[in-house]
Amino acid sequence: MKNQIEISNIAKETIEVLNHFDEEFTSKISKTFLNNLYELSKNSNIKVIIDENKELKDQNISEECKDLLSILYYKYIATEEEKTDIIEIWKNNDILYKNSKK
Amino acid sequence: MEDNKKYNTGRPNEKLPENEEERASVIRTWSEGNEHLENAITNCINNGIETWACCAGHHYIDFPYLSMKINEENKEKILSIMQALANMPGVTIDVSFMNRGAQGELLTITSNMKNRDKCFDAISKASRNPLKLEETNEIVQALWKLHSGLTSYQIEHDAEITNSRLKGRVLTIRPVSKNFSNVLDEFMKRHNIMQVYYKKSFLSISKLKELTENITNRAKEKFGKTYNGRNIMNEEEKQRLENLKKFFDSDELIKQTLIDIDPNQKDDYNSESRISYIDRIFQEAKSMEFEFLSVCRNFEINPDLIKEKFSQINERLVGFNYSTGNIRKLYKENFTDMNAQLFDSVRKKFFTDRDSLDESDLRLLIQKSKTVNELLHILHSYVTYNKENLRQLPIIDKKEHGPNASITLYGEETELAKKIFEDFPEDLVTGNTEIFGIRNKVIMVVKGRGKELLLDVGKVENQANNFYVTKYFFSGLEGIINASQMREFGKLDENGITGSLDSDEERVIQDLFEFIEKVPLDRGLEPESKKSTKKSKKFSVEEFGNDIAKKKGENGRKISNVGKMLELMRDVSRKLHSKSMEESPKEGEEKGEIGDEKSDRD
Repeated sequence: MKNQIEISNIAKETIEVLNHFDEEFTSKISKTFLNNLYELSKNSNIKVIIDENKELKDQNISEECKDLLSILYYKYIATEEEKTDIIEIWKNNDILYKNSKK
Repeated sequence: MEDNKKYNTGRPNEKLPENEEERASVIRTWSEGNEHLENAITNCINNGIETWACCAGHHYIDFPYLSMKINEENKEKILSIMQALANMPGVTIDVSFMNRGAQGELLTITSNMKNRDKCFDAISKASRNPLKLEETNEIVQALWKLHSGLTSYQIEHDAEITNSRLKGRVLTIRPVSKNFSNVLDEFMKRHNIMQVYYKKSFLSISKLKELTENITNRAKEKFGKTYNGRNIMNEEEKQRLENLKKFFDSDELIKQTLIDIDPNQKDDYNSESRISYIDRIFQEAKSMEFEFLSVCRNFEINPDLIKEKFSQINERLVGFNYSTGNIRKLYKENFTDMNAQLFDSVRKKFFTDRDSLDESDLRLLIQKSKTVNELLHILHSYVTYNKENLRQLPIIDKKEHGPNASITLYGEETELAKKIFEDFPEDLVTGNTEIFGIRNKVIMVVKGRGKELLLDVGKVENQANNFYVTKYFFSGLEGIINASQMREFGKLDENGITGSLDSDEERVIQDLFEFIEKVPLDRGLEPESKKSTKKSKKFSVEEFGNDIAKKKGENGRKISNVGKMLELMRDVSRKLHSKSMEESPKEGEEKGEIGDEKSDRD
């Protein structure tokens, strides 16, 4: 179970990464949710660095932050058809990961 | 053409070439590539109006103009041009006279860049359609008469003026056509700025000064104050201002009464003291109801809504059990409590839906209210933040702000409102801004920042020192505001951001402007010079979807992890929500008109 500091760090990282997205994404996210993220981030002292020379997939972003952003993508961006595909991918990824650990 | 260089020296020229082709070429040179100006000059010349000087405008903020010489033969076409432009936004008309040199009488039309082409097109058209003086509007007539009077005087007293060795004998009358009222009112006071312009030396000729005062007084008597051709500060507008002032008086009185009837230990000593207390608050409730009803009369609100509320309160007072009842609870539940949901509903209705407000909205909110404090909050928001009400107040002054916006001052010319209007920084980019001055309060609506920024600046007087509280609200966030920016502001919810800031008397205006500058500019308003030439890295949502959200493989997102994150966020949201409920307005705590923050200076 994550402690408060870890949650704050995830929130702060997510906000800072969102700052670097086009408004196509960020304008669709609920303001209440953003406010909650902001509230959570207040206790974080981490410094989030986005390398301007790297693509998104090469940025040093935590897995938790990617998970949270993916939830936002699923909820606010993905079409119905896409949502079905996404769930399938995530399920399969889970299976692949567990198999690789055996 | 090489020869055109002699016609493009920047000095006014008197004669055009005779040859038509050459003439057309010279006009093209003068018009500096602007086809509308070229047409305007051509039409003027073809209709007997000699042009004197012009500029097509070259910068983002510039003032293109065209000057035309006035004589007896073209006077009616000149009047027609003045008429066409007297009410065009962003355009100034001025008439001037110099007795020496070739200038003589000139009409100069100056525009801002936004309205430049439209202005020149209007000149083209009007130059072909003469008008008699009596066919023009009152602004043009007043201006023309003023100009004629002063010009005649100057011609008549030319020797005296020349012999006085005064420098700069240009006599220019330059009413900004939208603010002609200021010409009449502020004529002598504002001579050194744009409204009516004299070279200062002329003022030492007392006769000229006297003549000018006589003419302006006569014009003022005849035309009254005019703004765009309509009267302002007429009886209706005076009444509206009075009504608003009375509202603030009533508001203060009711608030003071609520404080006065706060029960103390003596009131709660025994049944007898409680009876006495209830009697007292019955009377005070009647006087408060009276104040509310006067507000209803002045703002055309159905009084039955108020009567019903007070009837309900009275019933609860009547039903109070003197032996066992809790008078503090009675006081709070009927007079001072503020329901958090109602507070949010009022904010949502008045601050976000203000353009669509009607009486049914007001009725619904009043019906939901229970206490006098809630009722007062609703009416205060309705009256104070209702743009339709506020814009019916008299306009005191208006000025251009940048190339595409204006600042308008309404209501009372209080010291604070006037200072905000006059000191509003020219380089503080905003859309149209409205300033409403009433009593010791200033309401501002600033477009172009946070979509629309509402500010309520009020003075708080206490024994130690006076200070100001500026409450604010804006809804437009244009995507995410980053975390550090959010810390500058206050509470963010689905409606927008609300908050407040305190300022000392010396700093209130500076703090206000600094705050406005922090509020995000709406898209399209960023000045070119401030736009960052280096854009920060922007990720596209498509990129994210393909590379991360939908990535396949053991390194992609996994349903188990995503599920845990989702659960975590839900849990956190629940905790945050219950925390915000705990922090909602407590019973009996009075809330501000905007924002939840209560100044803790006391």
